[in-house]
Amino acid sequence: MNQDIVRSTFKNICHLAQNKNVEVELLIEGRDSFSATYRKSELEKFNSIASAVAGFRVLFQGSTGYAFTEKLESESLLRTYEIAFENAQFLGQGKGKNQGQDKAQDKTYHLVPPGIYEKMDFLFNSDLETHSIEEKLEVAKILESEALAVDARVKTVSYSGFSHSKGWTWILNSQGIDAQYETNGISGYAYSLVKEGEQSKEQGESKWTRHWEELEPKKIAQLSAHRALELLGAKSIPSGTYTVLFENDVAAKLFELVTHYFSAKEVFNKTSWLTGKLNQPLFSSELTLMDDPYYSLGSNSRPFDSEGSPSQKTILIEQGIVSYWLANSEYAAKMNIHNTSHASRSPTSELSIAPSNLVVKKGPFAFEDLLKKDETIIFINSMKGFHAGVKLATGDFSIQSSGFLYRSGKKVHPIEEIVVSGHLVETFKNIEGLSDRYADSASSVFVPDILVKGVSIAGKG
Amino acid sequence: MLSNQTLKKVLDVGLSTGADFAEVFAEDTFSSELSLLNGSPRKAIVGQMYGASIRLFFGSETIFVTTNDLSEAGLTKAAKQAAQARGSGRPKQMAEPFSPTSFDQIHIYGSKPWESDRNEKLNFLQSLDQISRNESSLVVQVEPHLLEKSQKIQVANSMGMLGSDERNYTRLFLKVSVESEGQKEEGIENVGWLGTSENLETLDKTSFVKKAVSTALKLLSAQFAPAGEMPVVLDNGFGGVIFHEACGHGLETTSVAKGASVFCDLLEKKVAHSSVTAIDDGTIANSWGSLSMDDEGRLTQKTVLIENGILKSYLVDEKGARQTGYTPTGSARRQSYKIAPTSRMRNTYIAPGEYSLEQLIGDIDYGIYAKKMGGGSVSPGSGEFNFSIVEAYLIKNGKIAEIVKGASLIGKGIETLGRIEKVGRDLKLSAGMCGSSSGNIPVTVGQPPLLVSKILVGGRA
Repeated sequence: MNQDIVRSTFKNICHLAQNKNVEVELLIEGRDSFSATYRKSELEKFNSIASAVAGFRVLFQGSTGYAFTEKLESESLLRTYEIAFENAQFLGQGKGKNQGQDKAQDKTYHLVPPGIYEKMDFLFNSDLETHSIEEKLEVAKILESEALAVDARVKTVSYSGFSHSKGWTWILNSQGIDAQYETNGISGYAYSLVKEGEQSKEQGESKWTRHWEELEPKKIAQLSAHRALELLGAKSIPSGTYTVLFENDVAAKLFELVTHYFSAKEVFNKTSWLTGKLNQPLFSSELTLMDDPYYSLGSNSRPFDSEGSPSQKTILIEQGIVSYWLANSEYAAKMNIHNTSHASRSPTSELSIAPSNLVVKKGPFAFEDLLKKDETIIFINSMKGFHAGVKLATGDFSIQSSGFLYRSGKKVHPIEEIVVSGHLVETFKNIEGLSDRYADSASSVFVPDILVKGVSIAGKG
Repeated sequence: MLSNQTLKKVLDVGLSTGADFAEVFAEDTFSSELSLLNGSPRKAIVGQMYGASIRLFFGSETIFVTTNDLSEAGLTKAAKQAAQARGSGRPKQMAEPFSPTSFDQIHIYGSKPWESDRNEKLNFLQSLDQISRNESSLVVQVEPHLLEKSQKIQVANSMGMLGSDERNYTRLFLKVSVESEGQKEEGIENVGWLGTSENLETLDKTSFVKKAVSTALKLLSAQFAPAGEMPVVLDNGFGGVIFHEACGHGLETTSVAKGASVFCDLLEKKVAHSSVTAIDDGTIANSWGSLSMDDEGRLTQKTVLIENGILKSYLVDEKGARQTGYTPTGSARRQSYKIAPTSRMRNTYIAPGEYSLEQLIGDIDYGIYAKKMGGGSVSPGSGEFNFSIVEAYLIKNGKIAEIVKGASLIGKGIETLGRIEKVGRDLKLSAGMCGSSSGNIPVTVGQPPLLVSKILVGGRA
């Protein structure tokens, strides 16, 4: 892609747009990634993916049109802008039929003006680009071999691989924004399948980082094997209500779902469970949550959001109280609230709202001490099927889980074939304690281990 | 899209360092989304995906490279990058002369998405909104969403295969939210087919909407499902997700070749109750999961997976064939040119038996009738699966009783297959999206009603 051609084409498009009283934005995202996988010590996959896509957003008389293309040539960009404009016109005509039905929805908003962006050099670590293909292949190899070497009961590594990706985001708009940033990172993962007798268990471990030396592929591989081996001999437990310690990475997945309710779009459209509940103490007073786009360990750190609005930190829950919503320019205008710069979209999608890095404040307890806080504790370190087992409209969840039974702080036996159920918000209201650690594998959601009382578990017997 | 001369040249460059197989997959996809919110047009996005991948095999080692540059120079560069990634030897062969794949087009298509009248589509979505709101004053939000995709693909390989196809997809999605006394619920319906939007005219709109509204309203007064093991009757249609998750993924050579499936080495062995015959069929005219040729250019086929409880076939792609020696089944699928194909399901269903739904339910003193299933997931290596029930009822004394909510079902694949005691007679297929290692693809799942003698229900304890 020739940036000069794109820039001059966009300048021409802005000229066309101005004549028709149109506001226009061009978001371009590119990605170069390398990934490799080994199977039985032989290289199985060697992937090199290069892609770039450009997406227009056009505001015209209160309507928004979108169009995207992977042909980043002048003629194609111009044609794509015209399609986005046609889409905005089309939606405007459609709205005419329902005039007066939805005045709040139709409240006009404008594209974001240029702002001052913080320099975030840590987003792109040039050292990562100095490592050779051979070094990367060696990492991919270790991710399989070191898992297999742990124990003869590790029958195969179902999935493993190394990935190195570079991405860049460039936004231009008719208000004068012309800003871009680059990111890079590496990741490794391993899923070990272990077998003993008739019982098979599969567990995984992964890590994302911007620093080569922090990936530790041997540790990832070995952890995946140990996690699966620990579950051999697992059995179910009787259905009942238990005190549960959710391991930090499991707690993070569960907690990430709650943040859906903080989207101003969901609040405004009354599809959030938190609509009308701002400033209410709905969560445990132990809980403080911040969205932090500047968090140096976070994979979603960025100087500006998908509209080009300068990033800012936002406290969403302060000591259990619902403190603010995540907003973009559209919903900030509709709800007459501050734009928190959480616009989220890819060039192929519509403008929405999403968190950047979510950080729950750590608690005072060591992990081991939390396991002693009740006579019987169910430690959950794996939950599967979040996409199906959670109903965001109601907040109810019911998820296949596994972990360990602890009595008086001592591990008794591994647990399988149980379903943990509850309500997302109520679960985080009934917190008994938070640990002082985040998961090594955390990349954009940082949550400590969480002890919750009164959790419903379906089991056998 | 690409000339035979260009394809031949690119394949030869791919083979230039000793690869024994080279493949080019090119794609030009038009997509369109149209949706409403609060009765007004909300989203109109039109886009073009345009690119190609080069895949090489050195034995079973795969090199995969993508590019957005479909010029001969751009493709040759990508092929050279792929060839040099691993190979340093001399060419073992040149690409064979092309022998084009031909097939009778059994799927009927009407106007392309960009040719048909968008106002008609908008009116259609607005009528769904109106019917929903007329059904009940408790309806607070209606979100109809129409997706159309027209995918042109071209595949050529060094064995002389050359094929092209154009696939048109249409999917209609409806979410209805209801609220009463602060309690929210939602009902979701969707249909999808391999075809163009003319088929919308054949849809019974009122029935389609009523199902979504009725489910949501009934759930408002539902109590939580019980927890524990009990008999379950899974109704037809999307109930087939149990086979898809519990068994289907484990039959893909993607898992079998790694030894990461509980179905490894079980061909011609009993894996299910003798009442179970399961089929994966890519040849059903205009069905959502159908194909003409697969993404490796092979003609798709109807594959009997299990016959009267005996495992008869796996789902096999080119790579799986190289790794296992099994014959390809025309099942190679991928989300787009950006992801390499793997063996995947198409239209997967359990063949009909002899019982009525009433007969299945009449046998149960206390259990669950799962009228409508949600999504789920599986670990093929351990066979552990989970899936949610969207609409469930208690069965008491052989009769369907009150509606219950928040239920999920978990189990282990082979164990659950063995517990299918009776198979009903009314087969129905339902459209869904399946996410796996080659991305998100359209599939249908299906079955007649089934009686599973015992399965763990994850309700509230």
